[in-house]
Parts: sequence; C-alpha cells; structure tokens
Amino acid sequence: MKTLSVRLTTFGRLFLLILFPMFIGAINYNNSLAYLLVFVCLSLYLLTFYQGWQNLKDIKINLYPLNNQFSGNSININTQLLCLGGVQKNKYKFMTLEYYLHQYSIEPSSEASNLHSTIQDKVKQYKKSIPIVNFLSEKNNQTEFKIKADRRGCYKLNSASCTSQYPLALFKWTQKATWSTHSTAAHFYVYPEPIDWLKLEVDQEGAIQNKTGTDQFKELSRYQVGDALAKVCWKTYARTEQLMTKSFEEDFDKLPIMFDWNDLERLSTEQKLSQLCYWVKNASQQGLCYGVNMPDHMIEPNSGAVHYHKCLVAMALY
Amino acid sequence: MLLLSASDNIRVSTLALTMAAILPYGLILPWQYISYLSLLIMIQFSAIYFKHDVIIKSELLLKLIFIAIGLLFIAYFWNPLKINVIGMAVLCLVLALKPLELKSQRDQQVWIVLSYFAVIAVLFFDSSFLLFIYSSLFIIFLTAFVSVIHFPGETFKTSLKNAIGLLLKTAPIVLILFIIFPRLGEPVWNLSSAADNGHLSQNGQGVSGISNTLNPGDLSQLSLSQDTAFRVQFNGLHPKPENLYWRANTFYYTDGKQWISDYYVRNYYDLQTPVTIKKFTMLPKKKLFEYSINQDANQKQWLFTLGLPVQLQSVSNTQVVLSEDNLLLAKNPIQASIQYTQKSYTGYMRPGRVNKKQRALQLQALQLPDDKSSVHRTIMLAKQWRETYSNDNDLLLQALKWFAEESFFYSRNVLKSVVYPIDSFLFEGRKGYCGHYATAFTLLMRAANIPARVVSGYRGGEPSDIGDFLTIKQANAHAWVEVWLEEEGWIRIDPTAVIPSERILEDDLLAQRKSETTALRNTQKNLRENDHSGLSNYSSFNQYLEYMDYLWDVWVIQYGQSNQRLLLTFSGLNNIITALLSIIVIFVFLFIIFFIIRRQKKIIALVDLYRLLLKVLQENGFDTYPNEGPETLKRRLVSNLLSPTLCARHLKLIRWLDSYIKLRYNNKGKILDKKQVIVLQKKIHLIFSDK
Repeated sequence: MKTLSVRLTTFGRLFLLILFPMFIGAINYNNSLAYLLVFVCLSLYLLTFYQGWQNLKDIKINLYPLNNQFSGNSININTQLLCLGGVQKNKYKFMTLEYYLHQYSIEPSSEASNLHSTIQDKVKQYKKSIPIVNFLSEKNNQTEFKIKADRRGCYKLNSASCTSQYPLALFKWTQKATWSTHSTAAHFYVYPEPIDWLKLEVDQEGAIQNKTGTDQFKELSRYQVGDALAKVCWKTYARTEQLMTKSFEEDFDKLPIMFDWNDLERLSTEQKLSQLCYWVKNASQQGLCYGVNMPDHMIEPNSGAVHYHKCLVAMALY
Repeated sequence: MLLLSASDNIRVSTLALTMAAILPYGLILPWQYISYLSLLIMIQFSAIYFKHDVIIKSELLLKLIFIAIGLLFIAYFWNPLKINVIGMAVLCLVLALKPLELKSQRDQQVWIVLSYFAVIAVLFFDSSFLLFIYSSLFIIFLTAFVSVIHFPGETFKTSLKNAIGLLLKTAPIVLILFIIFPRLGEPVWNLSSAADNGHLSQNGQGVSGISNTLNPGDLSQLSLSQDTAFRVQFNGLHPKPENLYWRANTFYYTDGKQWISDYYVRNYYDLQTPVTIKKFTMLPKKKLFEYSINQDANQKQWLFTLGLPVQLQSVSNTQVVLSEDNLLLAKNPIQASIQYTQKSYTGYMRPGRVNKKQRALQLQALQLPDDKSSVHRTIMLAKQWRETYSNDNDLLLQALKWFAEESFFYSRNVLKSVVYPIDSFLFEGRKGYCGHYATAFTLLMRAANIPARVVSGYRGGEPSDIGDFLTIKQANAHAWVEVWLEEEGWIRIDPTAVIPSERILEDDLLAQRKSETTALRNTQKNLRENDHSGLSNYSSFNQYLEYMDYLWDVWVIQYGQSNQRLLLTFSGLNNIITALLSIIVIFVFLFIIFFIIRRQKKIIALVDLYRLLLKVLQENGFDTYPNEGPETLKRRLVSNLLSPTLCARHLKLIRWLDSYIKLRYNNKGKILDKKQVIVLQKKIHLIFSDK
C-alpha cells in the first residue's frame, strides 16, 4: 500500500510565486546573475524534495487500537515507529504526528457495506498534531501520545500520519500510519465524565443520605410461622395487634436497580448523564445488577462488562 | 545589558536581515531615502531593546505616519520613466515596516519571501561581482533563517550549517541549468530604465560617459570619473600606445556653442554577425589587430573601434550597423552589457574612388557656425594661413606648429563660459581641455576649406598585469580631430598631443593622467617581459580585482547566446536541443551508476546473513539442513565439539552463531547497528580462513 505522499506547503507556493517574476525578468533582460540566484532557489526545491523523501521513506508507524475512556481523562495513542534500514539520528528531527479525529453521532457500523452511512453520520472533524520528539530513544520504538478526551461521543482516529517539512518547509512529506490490527476497530468512545452531582448537592446541605445498606428496612409482611422473632415488628403489634415481620434488604445486591433519567429533573442534560454514568460505574464496580432508563430508550437490568459498555455507549451517544 | 528572549532574538535577527536586504538599494535609491528606512529599522530595534511594546504592537497611527513619510519621499523623487525603481522603493518601504507585524508564522514567511525578492531584484540594477557575493551571502543567511522560523528548537548555528550544505549541493544543478538554459537574444519588453543601471541619481545626471552632444568643456567633468567604460583584450598583436584611440562618435555640425551629432547625417550599412565588412579590402602591409571588447550597459549606441574596423564577430544580443565614417553602432541602445570581437586597422586609407555619399559627408565637414562673430578671429587666422600655404598638408603642419609654439596650456580647470567662444580660447585664454583644442582645430581647418570633424571616444587604457587586457576608464574620455586630405583620405590629428608636457598644468588630476600615460608606456613593455617588480602590492591587488572583474564580466555577466553557442560548439553539440538531450542522458546515466553503487554498498540483511553462512558451510563440506535454524545448528555443533580435527573452526563457528543469535533474537528492541552486521558478515569469511 502506498503510504508516502508529498505536497507543496503554503510557504513553498508563496516562494514560487515570488520566484516566477524573477525568472521572467531574468529571461527578459538576460540577466545572468538573476538567472543564477533563481536557479539556486529552484534547485533548493529539488534538493529539499529529495531530502524530505529520504527523511520519511523508511519510517513506518503502527497504531494500536484506542481504548474507551471517560471524558476528562487522557487517551493514549499507542504507536510504534519503525525505521527500516539504517538511520542517521540527526536527520529525523522535526516530525509531527498528525491525525484527524472524526466524531460520529451514532455508532459507526463495523460492516464494510455500511461504510457509506458512517461517513454521512460524521458530525465533526478535529485536526490535531503533536510533535514527535526524538522517538529513537524510546524503548522498542513505542511511543505514547496522550490526547485529552474532552467531549463525550464516538470517535474514530482517522488518517494518522507522520509528517515532516524538514529542511526548508517547502514540501510536506507525509507517511501514513497503519493499524497494527484490523482498522475497523479504530473507533472508540469517550463516555461522560462520572460525577456524583446529587451527592455534591447533599454535601452542600450538610446532610448525609444513606440510600443503601445491609440493615435497610424494606417492607412488612404478615407473620408466618418460622419467621424469626427478632424480626417481628413489635411496634406495629402494639398498635394494630397484628404480627408483622420486618424484612431487610439482605439480598439487595441481587435485586435489579433502575437508574432513572426522570429522577434527576433538577440537573441539566450533561449533569444527568454524568450522574447516571457515576451510578453505572459504581454499580458495575460493586457487581450489582442494574439498568438505565433514558428518555429515548431503556436498557434492561443486567450485569457484566458487555452490559456496562452498552450503558456507557448509550450515554456517550445521547 | 538587557537580556533578549528567544523570540526577541528572532525579531532582532529579522531586523538585521531586513537592514541587510535594504542596504544594496543605496546603489539605486537616493541616500536620504535609505537612511530614512534605516532609521525606521533602528527605531524598531531600540523598541525591542528597551521593551517599548507601544511601537512594536504599533498603534495604527504610528504605522500610518511611517508609511506616509516613506510615500512622501517616493513622491519627491517620483519619475514616471523609472517606474521600476519606484517599485523597488515601495518594496523597500514594505520590507522595512514588515517586522512591525510579525505575529504569526505566515507573516514571517511573507517577510522572508519579500527579502528573497529584494535581494534578487537588486541584481537587475547592478551586476557587479561584489554585489553578487553580497547577495549570495545574504541568501545563505536567509535560507538558514527559514529553518529557524519553521523548526523551533533548531539553533541558528546548525541551520546555518545546513543552509550552506544545501546551497553547496545545489551548485552542480545550478551550473548545468545556467549553462544550458536557452537564452533570449534581446529583451522582449523593456521598462525604460531597467538596464540604465537604474540610478535615481542624486545630482541630476549620472556620469555615463560620452554623449550625443559635445560641449568643449564636457569631457573635463568625466576626467574625474574612475568608472570603467569598457575593457579590451587583444588577441595577438598589441598596437602602440600612441595609436590607442577608441572611436565612438563623430561630429559634423556645430551651432557655435556645442557639437551635435545628427544620426541622419551619415549612411548606414546593416551588419549581420559574424561578418566581414566587405567595404574594405585587406591591406597586407598594415598591421591588423584583433581584439574583444566588453562594454557595460549604457543606454548609448556606440560600440568602440580602433580606427578602421574590418571584421566584426560575436556581438552578443545586439544588431549592429556600420556608418559611412566607420563607426559601429548598435541598432538599439545597449540595454545589457555586451561583448564583441573585431579586427581593425589603427589608421585609415583613402578609398580608391570617392563616391557621392562620401563627398556629401565631406561637405558636412566644412560647416561653420552661422553666427560668425564668435569665430571671427579664428576664421581670419585660417584665411591668413591659406594665403601662405596652398598645400593642405603644409597648412595642417603649420596649425600644429602654431599650437605647439604659442603659449597654449592644457588644463582641466576651465569654465565653459569663459573659454567659449572659441576666439577667446585661441587668442586670450589659451587654456583648455581636449574638447577645446579639438573644436578650435576643426574650425581652423574648416575655415581653411579642409574638411574636418570632431571625434569623441577614449584614448589609451590601463593595462593589467594579471590578465592580458586593457581597462578604459571614463577618465580616458577624449576628443580629437579627423581631417580629410585629398591624397591620404581621413587622417587622425590630436592637437593636444603637440602641447609640450611642461605646458600641461600640474593640477593633481592631470598629473595622474600624465603618469598614467607614462605608466601605459612602461607597462606595455612589462606586459611582454613579465616584469612585475615595479608594481606595488596595492596596485597588483587592485589588478587582481580588475582581472576578477573582467573574468566575471566575460564568463558570467556576459554569458548569453553567443557564449552558449561557443561552449556548445566547443563540446561538439550544435544546438540547444541536442545539448538538453545529452544532459538528460548524462543525468540518467549518473543516476543509474548512483543506484548501482548504492546497491553494492547496501548492507546485507540480518536474515540473509544466516543463509550466507549456510552457503559458506556447504562450500566447505559441512552438512547443512534447510530446516535447521541457528539454535539447532549450534546445538549440533556443540555435541560434535569433541571431534578433534575441526575443533578450532567449530569454536569460531559457535562463537559466530552466538553473536548472530544475540543480535537477531535478543536485541532488546534496540535499533540494529549497521556496523555489527558488517562485522558479522566479515567474520563468516574468517571462519574458514586459517588465520
């Protein structure tokens, strides 16, 4: 596959624009000195073209798939930069890793037949670049570039490449990166930032609301023979002369929890998402069974990594 | 001393480079303007130095004031004829103000590109060797600066080194392009003053040599000028110094105040070059001199000849005509410096039959001013001589004798108004310059009914020790007389030559001129004998400079169609297309060779090294198996190690395999060192050598 490409930079074009009238002038007036200097400048183009090619032709970048991440954390772009053939260290200066981040409104299909719809669903494109500093000193040529994930959504790292304008910025040579694994895995999600807005609010009020706990009272039921006497609600018996048994949430963990969008009316949309995200994250860490109710769709309670991801994706794409 | 930050350093260097870019325009633009621009740059510099950001960030008003003053200057020396010089003035203004707003990289790029433009454009106005060196140095710095701007972290020192390296590497391409790039004959279009050395001169008129009118005192101004008019190289014989009269123009008509050269007074013959001027037959008994002349652009039409031109060759880029009175004229004013070779005699000869046109010219050469009052006594004197001498030749000798014997002084310091009219020169003042003598002598001859004309041109020339050529300066400008004698034709008379040397007034300039003349005679001899002892170091250095300038002139500045053709024919190629083709072929050939060399040098890959080993082992009678990797091979060898005969080789082999395995499979992610591979490759062959 062809990965190396070149184009004239704006400076290169600007310079040509100036050289052109000089050249015409030299031809018209037959001015030998002007000829000489114009030729010097023109051969700089030839030379830097060649040197730029030399600079990048042996470079190969492998990209590893990117991990999903919560917003506010940084995403690592793991790359492996390889030099095929011999390297002269000082030559490989001033390269930058350039990449496009494409944001999608819906989950891009991994099937090739749906590629078209994927492109149409693209909402935004961010162009970014990071200088590559002296990658040759890195072990195994592995270099991590950290980019900050600041906006939830589905992204795809598109056409990452290693570019260099060295030595005179007349040409920009670009070496396209290749994926170390199948490229369709290239999209990743940035989830909403998990923030416990409700707790923060409560904290501000100075009160502590304990929502869960092992000795949490759940309900009263009619006494049946065999119920522990300790669990009988004597207060009720005194009042109503009926024996009622208190049941506690000792098996609360196994019960499905529904995190409901509608419970969070006071918060803004992003805050709601953050809150839901926080709950889901916590619930998943505790191994609970949970579901999420969002305005557009509902996710039935379940547990496990796949379910966790499904919930978070739903929130990231909301 | 204030410390400057990195960005300040870039700003300061920008300003320094801007100054350097503007400086050569001092040759073209008035010094007041250049000093104004320098002032602007100094202001910006001090603003950086004292951290007055007010000026750097520059309120719009301040910028507008700077621009307005600059434009006022330009309006002051506005000249629609020199529109391109005005353009340069504007460019300089922009360049000087651009550093005020270097906010982004794009601004810096624009500034750099403008600087390149400025430094190349100045060469259209002045093409001296020194300026070219200056421009080249400037381009080195500018190129280094390009990488400083684009690659932060690159130090100026390394960028300078890289820039020099880059520019040196362009040399072969530039040279080839320069030699084979097809040249145009004449400018397709011409901004009036582009080749006029562009000077917006400070004092009205520039010193540009002889002109189409001759005021008797004119040439005395030129005698101050040390500018080079042209250079001559003789191929073979040198004429005697007293015969070095370089003709440029002839004058027939005078209105009593000055001589006016009328283009239409003469007849012209078109010349195609190279040409043998068929008008004349060869004169076997007279010496024929062959010489090449290099002449700068001067917006004039005259080419210089030594008397009677017989053959004209290789006039680069110019069409030439020959006039009835043996002047060579370019059809169009000379816009760029030219070079031509001619063969000529120093004297004339009488044509066998005088035709009508020549007769008409002789009639022209008898004209006297209409207003006779100023020349009354002159005419009287000539008539008096005519009565005594009926023979033209005798009369001529009498006139020369009169100049030699009467108390005539040769002096530069004569005011035009005092000396003219000619009567007062001949009979009262008696101090004059060559123009006065030539005028007076011509009028005397004409009054005595002998056709005479004034010739302007240059006399002598300063020989150079280093290259075999003469330099003719503007100070060598001269005027003399040509007289028609029925028996001999036109002969050259220089009335100033008969003035005894004690009557040449010893003001410093004339003294210099005199010493030049003697030096001319001396060095003319030295030239033959290679005797350099008489010259001081200073003058020999000067002559080296002159010689450099000459070579520069001939091979670089003058390089055009004719040189190109010469080089091409020299290299056996007849036209530019075959030349281009052959260059391409050579290039392709070089590339192929280059790649073959690279191929051979290419280091064998590490994987192939093992294959090579197996091959060598096979050749030496070892059992090898294609499915056997280095590790198993090693194990096999170790188990066989007890066999005594192969012991030493085995050990070497095992050691080799050890280092190979280490390099290939246990490299810990380090980049492969080429040297190690080469060493391993060499060691393979050492295994079976007995050393």
